[in-house]
Amino acid sequence: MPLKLSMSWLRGLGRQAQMLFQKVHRAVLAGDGPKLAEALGGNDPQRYLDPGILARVGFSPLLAKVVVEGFLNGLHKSPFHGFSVEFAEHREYVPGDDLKYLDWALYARTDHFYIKRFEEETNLRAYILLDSSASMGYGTGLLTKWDYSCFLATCLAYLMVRQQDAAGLMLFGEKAGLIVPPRCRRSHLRQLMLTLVNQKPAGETKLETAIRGMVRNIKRRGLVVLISDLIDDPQETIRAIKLLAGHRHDVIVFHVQDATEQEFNFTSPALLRDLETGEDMEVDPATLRSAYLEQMRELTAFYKKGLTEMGIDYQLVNTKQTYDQALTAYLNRRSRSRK
Amino acid sequence: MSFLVPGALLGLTLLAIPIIVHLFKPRKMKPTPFSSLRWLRASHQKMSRRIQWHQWILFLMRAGIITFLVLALAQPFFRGSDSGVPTDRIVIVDVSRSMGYTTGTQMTPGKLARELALARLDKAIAGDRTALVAVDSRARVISPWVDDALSLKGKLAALQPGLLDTQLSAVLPALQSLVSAGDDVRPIELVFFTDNPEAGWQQSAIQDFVGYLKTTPRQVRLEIIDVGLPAPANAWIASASSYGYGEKQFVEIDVGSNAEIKGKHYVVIGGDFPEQRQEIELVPGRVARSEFQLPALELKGKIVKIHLEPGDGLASDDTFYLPLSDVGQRGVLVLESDNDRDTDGRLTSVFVKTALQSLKDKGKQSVEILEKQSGQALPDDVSQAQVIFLTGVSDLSEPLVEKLEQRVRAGAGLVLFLGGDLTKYNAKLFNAAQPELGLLPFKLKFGNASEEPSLWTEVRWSHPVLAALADPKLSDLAKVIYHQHAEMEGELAPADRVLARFQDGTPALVERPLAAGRVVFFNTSASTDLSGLAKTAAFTPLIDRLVAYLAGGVGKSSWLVGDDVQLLLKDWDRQAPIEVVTPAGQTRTANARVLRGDPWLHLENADETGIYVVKQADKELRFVVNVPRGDSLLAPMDPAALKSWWQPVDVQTLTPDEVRERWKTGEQSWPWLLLLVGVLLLVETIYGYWLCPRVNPTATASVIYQRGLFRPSEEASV
Repeated sequence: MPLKLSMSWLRGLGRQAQMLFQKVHRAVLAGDGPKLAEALGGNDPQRYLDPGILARVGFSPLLAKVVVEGFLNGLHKSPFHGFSVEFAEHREYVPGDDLKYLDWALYARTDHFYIKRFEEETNLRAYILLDSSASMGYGTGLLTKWDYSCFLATCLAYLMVRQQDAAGLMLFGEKAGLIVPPRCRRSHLRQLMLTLVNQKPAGETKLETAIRGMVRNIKRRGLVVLISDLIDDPQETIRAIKLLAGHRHDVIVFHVQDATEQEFNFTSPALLRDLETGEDMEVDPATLRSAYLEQMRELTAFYKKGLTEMGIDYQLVNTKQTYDQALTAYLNRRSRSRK
Repeated sequence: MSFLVPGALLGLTLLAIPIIVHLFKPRKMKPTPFSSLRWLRASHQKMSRRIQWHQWILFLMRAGIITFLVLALAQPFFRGSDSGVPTDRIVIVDVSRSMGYTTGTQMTPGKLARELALARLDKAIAGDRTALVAVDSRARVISPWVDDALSLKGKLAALQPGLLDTQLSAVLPALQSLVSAGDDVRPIELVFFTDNPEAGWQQSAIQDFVGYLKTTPRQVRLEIIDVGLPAPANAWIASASSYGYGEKQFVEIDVGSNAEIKGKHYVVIGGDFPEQRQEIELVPGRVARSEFQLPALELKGKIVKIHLEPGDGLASDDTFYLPLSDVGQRGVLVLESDNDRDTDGRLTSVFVKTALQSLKDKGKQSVEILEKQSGQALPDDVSQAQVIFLTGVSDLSEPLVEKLEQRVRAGAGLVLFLGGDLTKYNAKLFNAAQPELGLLPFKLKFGNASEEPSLWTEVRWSHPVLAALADPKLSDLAKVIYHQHAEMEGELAPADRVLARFQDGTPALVERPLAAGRVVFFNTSASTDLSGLAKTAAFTPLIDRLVAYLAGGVGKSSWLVGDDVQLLLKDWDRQAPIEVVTPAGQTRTANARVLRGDPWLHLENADETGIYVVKQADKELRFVVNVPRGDSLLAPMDPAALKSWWQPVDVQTLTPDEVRERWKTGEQSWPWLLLLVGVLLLVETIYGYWLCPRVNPTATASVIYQRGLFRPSEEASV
């Protein structure tokens, strides 16, 4: 159901976000003591996009709203402004109205000031494909890839819904898992998050199998957001993602990696156990690091090149990155998406 | 390579520990979850190879540490010439007088012998058995077979040179008993540490021993480590005697030397007389003689101490004690028989009587010569004689033989020559029931009497009778050719001393101690029948020495070191204890032994030189003990001759330097192994903790949080 956005609603949402910021701030101070308080000592709201800090508070739909609204508040000069609405009617200008909505052409013809009014569209269906394989349960420091990805999915869903897009969720591991059909109701967000909460990362990643299964369930073309660590055969992965593009979907891929996966910063020999297969392997980081990092560079370069060639956005995401980068990438893609 | 402690090799089983640990080691490393090993697998193979490579190096180092440690405990022993076969080794250390030769700057042969022998004990390998024997004139088994050669070190270090002459052959019977007591299979190694003097070996004894060795299946190897100093110079008082000439009494002193010794030398006499000194000119290889006239004093019981100045490396033979108690007329009985004539029809005793008369006429010997027909001799004639010459036995009656035996046992000396009817010797003089108690040392065999001319060999020139006759300038005794002699049937008694042999090994001159007296048996005639002895220039001096030597039986007061002293204590109390004060001042208590009515002092093994004093109440008697002079010549044995005597036994005569060089490769390696273990341990530590990635793993800093959404975890603060 289309929702009409108004400036007052947005202002109200901003007040709620501000209150939530304060609440989060208090909770953080109460829960994590002087060290965290010191870290939060500044007034930069961008720090609340830091997943590390958010993880300490605990993710929630409300927090996603806070993040997204905080993020959008920082986009007042964004080129994405008004991208999802269409002209509906004119009304007479009253003082206080934003002059940028003044219809100067009509003023030239009629010598009266009219303000343009817009009508939002809801014809975009966004599908969030979230990898729920066991490898997503890996993480170092404060949060796992799964945590990060879930919250990212939540934020994206919120953003979609807020923009009148229908947001759906599909979980996959070895094969296609739970599917939450796309809806654009705000209450739909809660269902999405409940689904995520009840899901634990498990099993291996079989991206091709999963995507082939999901493609059959996506009847209408739309925007597909793939959030995965892409731990699978790269060729098959590329082939699977191209399959989505082949079905005329707009695709954006968030390749989620933990910082340790990217840097391989083990300091001493270790016995590593594969979270997906349970396989053990003794490694000497000093020996393996350079080869591993080179391999990871090649891998990301391979993904980036392979996906970009098909017009698919590829975004490498580190779990230490703030969410704004991911959201920006999404919005960037959304602005170019076909309606 | 062999091992001193082979049991320690069981420690090599410890090598199983690193293998077992490697195979069954518990995973000490805590698994660290990781998202996926997909991207690591490509590099893992290389990594695995490196880990395996490190592990192999570590394993080898650790195995090496264990192995070398075990080897060090097992004490491996390398010796180039060793076959590694366990051997029965007899270490024979010469402790004779000559081993004490000192130069002041060099190590004495005795000390060098001990050092080398200790080194030899160190070279013993596991499975070896070792026996230790000391030898001078007599053999002493210090230790029978032991498995641990090192346990003999203390006994070996305690061995010191004594005052007896070298008689290495004396050890051979002891070796025979040791060899027969050993294992039947193991090879035998005889190692002599000696200065190897020429007079130390007797060919016949060696041949007897070699004959025995041939009967054993054991392989025998002989090493003679010659520790003697090169060309040691020595001067010594060879002999001294006194004689009277009218009212005057003289002391005649012979001084020998083996090399040219620079400087003036003096013979000094003293003791119970005012000191007199004469310069003497030493001639290497010859005997220099000097005479001293004694003061007109009562000489009975007096002792002349003679010494040579300056002293030299072998000081023990630079002093001589000459008792004058036997100065006076000596009763010499010559028993002859008309039936005992030589091929020229002369009495067999004619040369002996001539020599005695000559000595008497020249005042050389104060003797009273009594010539008696064998059939007419009275027991009293025998009783009064101190020396009896018997040149034929044709008319000897049994009572007379019995009387002769009694007289000899009582202290008289009997000189026994072959002559006349030789077949009667065994019947009249040989004691078949108790051969060691008879007047004839061994049973004579004439049936196969050797017709080959022969010289004397293995002459014990150190014997007092022969000492002064070794000089080729003064004596032609060594050149006498013996045309015929009797062969020996049976064995000599242990107490008998062979002073010379014929070249076929038959005893030529035998001394048999018989109670207080002695029998000197010549395996030749006193005439010209069997040899040219009687016609040699040395014959008269030989008779002179025989009389001087044998007349001491009654009233004898001079012995040699190692002798059993038997001193007649005429008219002493038989029951009261007797005190003997040795030259060192020690007092020994003894009891008199009554032998045929007279009390005798019996003192075994007089081991000090000098003047002994025998006391009982107010009575006092003195006697002297001198060192034998056999070692004084210090003439080294010819290795080639010795090798030929020992044929077919493998004999090697080695100098100390050769021995050290030979044993150089036989150094024990355990200290080096321990050092290697230490180095390996250090390398292993460095390698394991700094270089090898597999060792000493520490938990990675990566910590995984798998927490769900909306549920802040307590672990988040970890």
